[in-house]
Amino acid sequence: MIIRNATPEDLINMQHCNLLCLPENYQLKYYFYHGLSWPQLSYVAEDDSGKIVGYVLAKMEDDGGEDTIPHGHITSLAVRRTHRRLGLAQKLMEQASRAMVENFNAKYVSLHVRVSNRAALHLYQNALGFAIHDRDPRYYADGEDAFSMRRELTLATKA
Amino acid sequence: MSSTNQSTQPASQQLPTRENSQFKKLVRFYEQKQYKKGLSCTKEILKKFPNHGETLAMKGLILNSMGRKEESLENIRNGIKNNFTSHVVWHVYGLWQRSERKYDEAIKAYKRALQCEKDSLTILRDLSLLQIQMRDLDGYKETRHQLFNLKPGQRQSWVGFAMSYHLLGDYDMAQSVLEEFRKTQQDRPALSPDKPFDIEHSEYLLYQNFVLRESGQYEDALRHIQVHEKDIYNKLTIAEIKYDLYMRLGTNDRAETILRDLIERNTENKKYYHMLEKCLQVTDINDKTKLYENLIEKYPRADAPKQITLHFLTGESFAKAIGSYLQKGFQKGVPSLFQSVKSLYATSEKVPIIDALLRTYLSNLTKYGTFETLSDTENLTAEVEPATSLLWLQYYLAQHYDYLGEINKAFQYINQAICDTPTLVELYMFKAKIFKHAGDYQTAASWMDEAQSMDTADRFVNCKCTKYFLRANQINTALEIAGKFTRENSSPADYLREMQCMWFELGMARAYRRLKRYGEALKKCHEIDRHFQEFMDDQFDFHSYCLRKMVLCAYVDMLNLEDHIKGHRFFRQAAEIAVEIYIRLYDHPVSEQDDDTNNTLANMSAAEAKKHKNKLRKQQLREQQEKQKLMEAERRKKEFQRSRNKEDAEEEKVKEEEIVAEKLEHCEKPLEEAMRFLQPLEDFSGNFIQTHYLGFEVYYRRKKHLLMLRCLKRMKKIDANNAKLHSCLMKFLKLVETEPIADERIRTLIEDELKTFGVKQGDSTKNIEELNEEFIKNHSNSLSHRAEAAKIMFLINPTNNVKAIEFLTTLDSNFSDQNLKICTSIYEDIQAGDYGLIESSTLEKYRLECNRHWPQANLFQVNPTSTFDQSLLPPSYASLSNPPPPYSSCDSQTNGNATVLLKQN
Repeated sequence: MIIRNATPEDLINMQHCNLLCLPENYQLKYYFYHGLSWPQLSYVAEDDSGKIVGYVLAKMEDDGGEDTIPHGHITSLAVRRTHRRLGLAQKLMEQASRAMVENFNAKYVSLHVRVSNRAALHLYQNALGFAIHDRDPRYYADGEDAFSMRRELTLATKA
Repeated sequence: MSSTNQSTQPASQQLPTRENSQFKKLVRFYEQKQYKKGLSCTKEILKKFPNHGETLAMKGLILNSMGRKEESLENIRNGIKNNFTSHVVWHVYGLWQRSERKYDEAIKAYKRALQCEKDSLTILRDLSLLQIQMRDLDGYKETRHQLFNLKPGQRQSWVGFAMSYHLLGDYDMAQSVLEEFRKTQQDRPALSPDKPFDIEHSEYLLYQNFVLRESGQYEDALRHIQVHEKDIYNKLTIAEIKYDLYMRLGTNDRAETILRDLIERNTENKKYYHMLEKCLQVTDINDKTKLYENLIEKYPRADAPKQITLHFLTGESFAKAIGSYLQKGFQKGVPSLFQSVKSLYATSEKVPIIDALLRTYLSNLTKYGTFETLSDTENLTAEVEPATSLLWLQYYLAQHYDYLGEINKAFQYINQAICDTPTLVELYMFKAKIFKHAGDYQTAASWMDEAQSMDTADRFVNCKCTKYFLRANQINTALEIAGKFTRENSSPADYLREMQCMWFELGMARAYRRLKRYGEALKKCHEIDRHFQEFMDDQFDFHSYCLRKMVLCAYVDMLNLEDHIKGHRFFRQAAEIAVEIYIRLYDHPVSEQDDDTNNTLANMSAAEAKKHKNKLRKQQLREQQEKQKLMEAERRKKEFQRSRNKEDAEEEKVKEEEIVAEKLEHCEKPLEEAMRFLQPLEDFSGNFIQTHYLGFEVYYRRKKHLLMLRCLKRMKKIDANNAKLHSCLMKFLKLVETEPIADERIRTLIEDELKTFGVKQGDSTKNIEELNEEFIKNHSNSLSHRAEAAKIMFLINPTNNVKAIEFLTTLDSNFSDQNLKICTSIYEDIQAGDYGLIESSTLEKYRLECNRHWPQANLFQVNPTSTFDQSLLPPSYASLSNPPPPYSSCDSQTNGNATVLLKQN
């Protein structure tokens, strides 16, 4: 297994992994947008044959609105079912979070999760140290609500 | 759009003040995407000045944004006609061409615009984007130079100017421009406490360093990174760069420090460990073992160093290491355990060691509840493993034996595991996989469906299920399954196409090909081709974006990626399928295969038959044209509605013409169509032998001797022992023998080149028959080589294929590659007529023999029997409440269900 910073070459394969694992999908251009705006933040897990078995696609929130605290956001995180229980999600998140702090001085990282997705909720809360921050009604295209979750970064990554 | 310089315009094209300000307003409306308001402005101006060129052009541009393509072009053309010295009309024309993705035409239009207005920044910027998109690097450099001269105060001007030299390989020039600008940055304002990070400057420095390293100036690069380290925030990249430079400059001790930091930072990057070995110049196995022992001790939770250790250890120490690795995996319940050690199986000495350990574990876990063998006294005190350890061991054993080709054992373990733990989805998924490996795609799909029904919220198992139904040629069921995760208001296939889901489209293409629905299969290949076209168009917006955002290294990486993006396996696989089908369509045009036609033809004389065929073809063509007209009308209607619905909407994407399966299937020149896929294969997948094999087959049919020769040479370079290389070479020799090449020079050239293929004796070419015999003698144990040799036997003697078929259909367990895959392809090639006409009894005999070897394979099974064996199907299919009995219990029965399922299609 190799966990490493994603390159533009990886983007098609990240899209493929996303299409296999998650219901929320994006066109390649959206991956390009991440990879060409914050190339430091996205990571992949690659198996011995070079196949991408997990990834984290991340960005910085720079809307500049009322919330001016620099913070990262996890657009998408997936690990193939066949590669669960290796702690890959955690390892990918660690790398991405550290990069957010080092490169962009991020204070916290946020993400969204479907309220019905108990497995993911459990992972984020217990293994990855996220806490529920808010509930966004009808966040998903199909009308489902999302929990917006956050994890403080400043202390966690320096430890 | 910059506004017009009134004074340079011809009198007839000058607007009075009121209309002129109206025109300026119109431009603003366009830029703000307020198309309706913009349009009413044009109306007012045109009421008084119906021939005002620039207004007409702007009207066209607005209409284009509203999706009214045809009107739009008409207006723009009219605009040009009325005022062809205006840069506005030409700029608009360029924008229109760009929106049609006709970048070459757009470049020409911009250049015309620049002739009218030499120093227009907007036009120059737009032109530079097109030039880099088209990789007109010289043109890009010139435009960037002009932009630099016009706007030397902007950072973007400097960066773009430098990059244009970098891309041309002029590193010195690029470097001096970058350095010149960097110097001006020295008195940047100090970073304020609320914005302590200047990421853009940091990226700038990294880009400058990238150029230094690319030019090979490693010492300068090292100095540069050391000086500017404090201003660069990307600590990971700094470390990787420094490691690389220290190694290149031979300062390994410094490189080591960096590497240890990198490992500390990320313990799961195997590359770092390999780099550390290289850096420490560790070759001795004991040193290596010690190095990794220390690393494992330091990072006990890291998987990577343990995995690496497993690769180089041998014998006893390997047994010890793999033993503890496996035990931990079973205890923890890691589903990917087999996957993560699979690569060890390539070393044949390791397999029996693993096998022996697994057997011991199984027997001990059953007997004592522990992995190790225990004495009676130990037995009383030992801590017993949790029951799940046995479960994961069984799961592993099933994968282990499946990998080793012992399918019955694999079934035995997976069935036992399912029997003990009927709730674990992974087990069902793997059972499906064993059926797939056994060639029983129907039952495989049923088991995957069972797995899917146990966890409907998981998309991964849903995708596997979709994939398995596609493999079983059950396309509608596959779509239905996939539809559980696609948007409700569009069809699953449409949604997946929109999301560029290429594994699915490839699966569809293969299923359609197996069902001989070649048009549909080709359609999927063309859709994949379009995705890649889109990926290439996607880069367009980033040309300006990345320079603005200062994301330079990733941008250059992206440009490089785009230059060979069609080398991606998804494109390669789609292209291979497409070329194969086009070759097939050339050899057997679809109308010939049509049964009705053939029946009618049988009762006609040759002349009549020809007439009839022509008539049919014309009829088909007519029907096709009508259908297309209808579709075109439908499309226009939709387009019109769309444009009415959202007049002020975002710019529409280019609407692609719909791909029509029948049109593809009935194409007139399949070999020329094939080039659309073959060319990129040759350009970007040249290290795959299949590329040149397909190339040969296409050029053979097009009688392109030199291109055939080139393919032969490339095949030989990749794998001189390849079976297909032999048959291609023989076909080539036969062709030049029966149809000698007229051109003297080409003939001599070929004769010369053939010397390197070992087919010459002195100056004359050896007899093909003799060469084929020689080949058979050299590869008598390889079924794939025999299959190609048989093709040549048939080529030499097309009227009598008995000998070839007999040779081909001989099975012998001594053949090194006698497996399901090869026998499947032989059987299918015979059926397809690659070996001429064949007695049905001969084919039947071969089928029976294959059936004996691979009883579960659907392909070799007899037609449905009356007994429907439910025990083979998952519970929900067989409506049983208990899990099905182990596979071995029904081994002797031929399963009928598979063929029943097949017939439903």
